[in-house]
Amino acid sequence: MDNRNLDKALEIYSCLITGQEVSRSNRETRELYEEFYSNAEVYEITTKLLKKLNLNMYEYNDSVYITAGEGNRVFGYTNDDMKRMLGLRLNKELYMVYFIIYMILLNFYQDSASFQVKEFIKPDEALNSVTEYLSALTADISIYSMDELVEESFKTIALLWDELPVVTSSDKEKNKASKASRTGYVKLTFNFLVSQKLFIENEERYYPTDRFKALAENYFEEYKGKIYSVLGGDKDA
Amino acid sequence: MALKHVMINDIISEHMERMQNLKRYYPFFVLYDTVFSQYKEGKYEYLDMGYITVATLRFLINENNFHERDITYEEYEAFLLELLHRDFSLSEEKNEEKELALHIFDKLINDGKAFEFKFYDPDSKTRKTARVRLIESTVKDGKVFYHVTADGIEFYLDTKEIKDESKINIQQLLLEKMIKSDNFKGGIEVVKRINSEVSRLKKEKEDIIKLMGIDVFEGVKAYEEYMSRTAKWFSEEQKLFEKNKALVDKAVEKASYKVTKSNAMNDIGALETELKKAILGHSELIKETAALSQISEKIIQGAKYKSLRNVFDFNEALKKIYAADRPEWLEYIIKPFFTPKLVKSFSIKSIDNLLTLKTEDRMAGEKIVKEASVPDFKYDDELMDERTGKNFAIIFKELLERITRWDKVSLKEFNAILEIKFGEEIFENRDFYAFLVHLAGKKRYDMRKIMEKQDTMLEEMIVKYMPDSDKENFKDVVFEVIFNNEEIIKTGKMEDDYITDMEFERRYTNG
Repeated sequence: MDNRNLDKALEIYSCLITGQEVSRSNRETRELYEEFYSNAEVYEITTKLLKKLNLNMYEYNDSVYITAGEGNRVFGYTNDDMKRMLGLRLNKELYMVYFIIYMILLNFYQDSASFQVKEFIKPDEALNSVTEYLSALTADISIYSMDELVEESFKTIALLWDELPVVTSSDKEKNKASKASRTGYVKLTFNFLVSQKLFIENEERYYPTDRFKALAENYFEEYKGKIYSVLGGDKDA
Repeated sequence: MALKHVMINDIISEHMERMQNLKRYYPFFVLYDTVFSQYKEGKYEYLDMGYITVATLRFLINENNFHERDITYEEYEAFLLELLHRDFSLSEEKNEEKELALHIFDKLINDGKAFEFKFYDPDSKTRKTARVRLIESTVKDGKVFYHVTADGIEFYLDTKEIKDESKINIQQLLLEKMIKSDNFKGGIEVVKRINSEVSRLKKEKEDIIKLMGIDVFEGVKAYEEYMSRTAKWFSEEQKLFEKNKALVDKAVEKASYKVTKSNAMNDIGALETELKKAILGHSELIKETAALSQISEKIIQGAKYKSLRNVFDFNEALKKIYAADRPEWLEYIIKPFFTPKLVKSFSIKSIDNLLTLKTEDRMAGEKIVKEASVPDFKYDDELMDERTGKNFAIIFKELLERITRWDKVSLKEFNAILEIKFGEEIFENRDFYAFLVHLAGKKRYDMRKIMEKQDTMLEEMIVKYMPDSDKENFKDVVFEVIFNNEEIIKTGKMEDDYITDMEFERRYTNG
């Protein structure tokens, strides 16, 4: 094995593991991208290394991205990690954020092959999608008593959402991430997605990154069977 | 022949579509036929229901589409009575007039039912019923509001306006007339209507993109329909905008050197601003519509590949998660999007686990399997000792037997005996040589003494492994080892298998 190739492979790995894109269009990583695809040994070392570390690699738009997938003990996040990062305390709060992310995802992808026609999403749209979906669950809310609700249920999430004001009293706080209002939750979620390099913000408009598209269009197709077996469905969707 | 076939095919397959288009005219003729001869003994026979219907539609279009508000029955009643007074010189008691208005309105809405237009469909060879309404009602905050239906608008426009004409163009022509007649206020209203039409078209375009994402076939149909309806008018609309802009500019110019009333001046200014807005909005619409064709191409392309791909349906996955009521499962879809975790942290509780290098979940699952110890387990060296001991005991017993019989036996003779008994292989057994070495280590062997106290390892092994019956048989045997260094005897097959001869002679303790 050529030491220089090993060096290059490790350099590519260190870029990818820090969430950076290795891309033909990125001036800083262009050379690495070319090396990755033109040098068979570099390609082999990098892919082998990623495989051994249980990391998945995807290419999109002349760029390479990796993900730890779900259930990776070393590089994946536990619920406690997530709560710490988002400043949340309860499971239902975390699931609320997951749900908002899911609604944002559905705004762009109904399935992994649907062409991405939407350029960006505004926080209001995400907020309305969540309200629309959850309002169906809270329509007959009077028949539930809080004691019956377990923390891990959709009704709990729907109730949490239902009880939140759209914005907190002062207009100044409209754009602040918090757990005090629906807008706050959405902002909190978007801040997290931006920190994860999944969206870019511009004038309160959130544009999905290539990283987001690469994962939405590839990861789930590869792990479809595994995910469906976990979700308890024998049938394919 | 072929032409005839095409014609027949057209008659049959297109009949349904033609009937669908005709249905919107049907209510008018039903209403037109309504005679007032049955009502109040023919007192109001002079009223023309055809006229009333068309007037009602115009009124509703004005309120619903131009002023963007639905109307209540009271508002309609006021309009209708005004019409009856003005055009038919109606003059009756107030209550009777109200009753008449309600009767007419009930006819227009067909007592709340749709007008049913029955026809025969030659394609499916069945009778079909097309349902059509001119006026629809909605309930808002406990109040009933009325609005004209799309069929109603289309029917109304068909009666005079050119069916395929762009709405923006119609408004532009109106605007032109208004500017020319110095009606700037009316012009502002018209431009506002143009603006609302432009934003409606933009919204429609968004809806088409959304529809394409969900159902590509329906989306493409809607896209083609939209393009044929809007795109072909764009250049003409732009021309009219330019014309109207020039007219407004002229009006501004005229107003600046002619003393004009300040109100009119304000109106011209407002009209100019509105028109600029409209032109900007319109050119945006053109740009977005151009982009729409590219998007639709990509969507169609994507849909072609989609049929070949192993697609993951996010909607379906959410339904499954929801059906199981397990919101925590959302993480299976959400977490793969995250960047790999680089900052490692652990809770204080895990320090204990670190010592044993066990993860939390393994701690819970670990089981200690207790294996019962085997009491008679023997290690390899113990097994070897046992084997050697047994061999020693066997060879020693043979020796004792020979000595008992013959009183004296040489090693050579003893070897011959052993060879007969155990075969030549005995000379390849290292225990045999070890036995001889050990045996030569002591000169006199007294079985009785050996039983009591063992001086050498050989004696210990003999006591341990010799069966009790043999010990009993030979308990009185005493013998000595006499070394005869002169003679060397050969054992085994190998060249070096030589040993010095020995003799074993019995001694009697009493003699």
